[in-house]
Amino acid sequence: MENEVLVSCENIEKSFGRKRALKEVNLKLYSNKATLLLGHNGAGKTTLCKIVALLSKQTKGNIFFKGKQVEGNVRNKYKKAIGYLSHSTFLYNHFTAYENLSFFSRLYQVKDAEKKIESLLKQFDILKVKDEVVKNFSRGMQQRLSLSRLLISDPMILILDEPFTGLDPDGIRNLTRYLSNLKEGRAILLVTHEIDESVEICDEVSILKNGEVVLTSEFKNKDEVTKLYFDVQEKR
Amino acid sequence: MRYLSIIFLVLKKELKDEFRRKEGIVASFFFALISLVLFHFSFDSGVGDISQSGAGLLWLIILFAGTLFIGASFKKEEENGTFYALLLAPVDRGAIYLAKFLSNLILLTLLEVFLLFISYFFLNIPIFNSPLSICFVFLLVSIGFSSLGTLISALLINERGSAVLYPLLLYPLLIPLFMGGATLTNEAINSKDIRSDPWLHLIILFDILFLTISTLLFESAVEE
Amino acid sequence: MKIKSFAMITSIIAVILNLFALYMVFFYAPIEIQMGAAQKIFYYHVPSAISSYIMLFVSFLFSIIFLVTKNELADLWAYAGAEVGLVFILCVLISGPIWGRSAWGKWWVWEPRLTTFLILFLMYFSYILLRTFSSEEMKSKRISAILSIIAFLDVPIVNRAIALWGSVVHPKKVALEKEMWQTFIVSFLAVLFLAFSFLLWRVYIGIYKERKNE
Repeated sequence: MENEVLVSCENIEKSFGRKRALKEVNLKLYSNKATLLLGHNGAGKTTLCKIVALLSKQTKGNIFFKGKQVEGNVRNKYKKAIGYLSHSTFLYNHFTAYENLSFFSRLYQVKDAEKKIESLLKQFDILKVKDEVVKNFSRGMQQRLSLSRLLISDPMILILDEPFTGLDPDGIRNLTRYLSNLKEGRAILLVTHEIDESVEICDEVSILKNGEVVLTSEFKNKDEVTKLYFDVQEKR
Repeated sequence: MRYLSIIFLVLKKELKDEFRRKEGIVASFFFALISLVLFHFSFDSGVGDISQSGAGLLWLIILFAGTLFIGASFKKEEENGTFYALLLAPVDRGAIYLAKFLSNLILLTLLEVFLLFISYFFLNIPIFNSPLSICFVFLLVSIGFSSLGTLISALLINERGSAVLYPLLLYPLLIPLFMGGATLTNEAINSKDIRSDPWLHLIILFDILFLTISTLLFESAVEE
Repeated sequence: MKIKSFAMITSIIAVILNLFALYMVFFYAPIEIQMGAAQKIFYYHVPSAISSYIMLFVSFLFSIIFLVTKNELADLWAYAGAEVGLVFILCVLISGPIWGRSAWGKWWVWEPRLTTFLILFLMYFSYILLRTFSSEEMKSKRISAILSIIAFLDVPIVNRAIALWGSVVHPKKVALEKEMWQTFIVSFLAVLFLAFSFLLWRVYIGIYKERKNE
């Protein structure tokens, strides 16, 4: 499989007041490739995710989408290509499953929305409850609907910011299974502390320390990731 | 075109959501009713005729009752992080603001119709003296209220203590608007011609100025 | 430190001008016949009002600069402007009633210009409240900048509204004597320099604090 550079962050810096949360971060996301982003709490992982998803604006540096700088016309194309998932479901509690997907499909100007909604609901096994309001859903169902919402716009780039938080072991296992199926044709950036699961999904690890990417490397198994991580943390 | 259709889409979602969760609307309508009754008892001890000084009262009630849902219009998007979902979407963020503004404006209008009706019913405030002028005044003041109210609500998203801060930030800014509203309503009730009233111009200026400024500033209000 | 020496110089000028102004107010300017000695408050009341407007404008200007550039220093200036502006608004609100007491026999009269300052006080006090109570530092800077812009744009509308609404007529323009004018100009400069020295010191303190936090 070919690995095209979809997103390239160059010299991203972000400061909150005098505090520099990110320092000259360079990060590339390739299609068909999942990158695991590790780091201490407060190392700047969420900040980086938000900047890549344009929820937050970097103080310095540029983001490139398929080689073009993200600004002007490219901005909306880029936003359309981004899928963002966190431990929040991004769903409207008082809307039905169908209404939620329908709203977001129109927000993203999805073509053939009806068909797509139907197939996603089927794929995630929530077709039966499509006319029930989300607040009555179980956590597992909400999570599956949340994934359908993520995929409705068929994003090329997935930013997953601690998607496992608050899930029980079953939920984590299911989510891992779904996510590993999504890699084809997509670039994934995964932030999590669940190294066990992420190893199944990711092929590459980047480690953030005090706002700097100190290491980017491919890996084969869990032990290698753990070793890399602790090596980095011990180094001053 | 795309801009307008996004406004319409988010507006539809907003109203549907508001009517399903009900709490904002029910709370504000009920609050309006309670306040009216309370005002009646605090004035009835013989100070004066409430139907004469009623206009200011009505606006006070609208201000407080409207705050109940306008203040929450972004706060409620904190639930499940849908606020981020809106910001992530490939749409102009100004359109999101305008949709929320319109939704609040529509709800305010409903509240006002209800309030005018019960104030006529209970207190005999003569609102039918010049219904057109009254509608016009109420619409203009509501536009100003909704434009700043929606923006301040967006400013305070994800903020601790936003329920307390919200009125403290908003009310001082709205003082001229409500002064104008009360004066013009009083004049309309008393069947005066308000068309060339300087207050009217002031309120229109307020509306145009703050609706424009808010739409422009919204982007920097929500980008972290 | 550049700003510190600027603050120093402005303060020294302010002190000298104020001593001079006070001398003129009490010994040079003649006593007004109608209001008596209380009229002398005018020499500090009016300059305070003008200075507070200028400070609020500083806050407005730097708020825009902050939103555009995200430059921390601009935020410090904006904050300082609002804070010093509030101090002078308070001066107006305190000196006003003292004057009012002798002019109208009541402490508080809902006199248009005084009322405007009461509303200004409410607006900018809420700005300070926001900065004090806000949980996230960076976010509070952004939203207070927006608030400062809106509040400043609201000022002329408030002004006009109060003027339309005002039932009490402002004291008619008293023809000032030459000595009174001279005194007024000196005291105006004195208060203005005082305001700017406050502003510079406030910015300096802000910079110092952030350095210390680092």
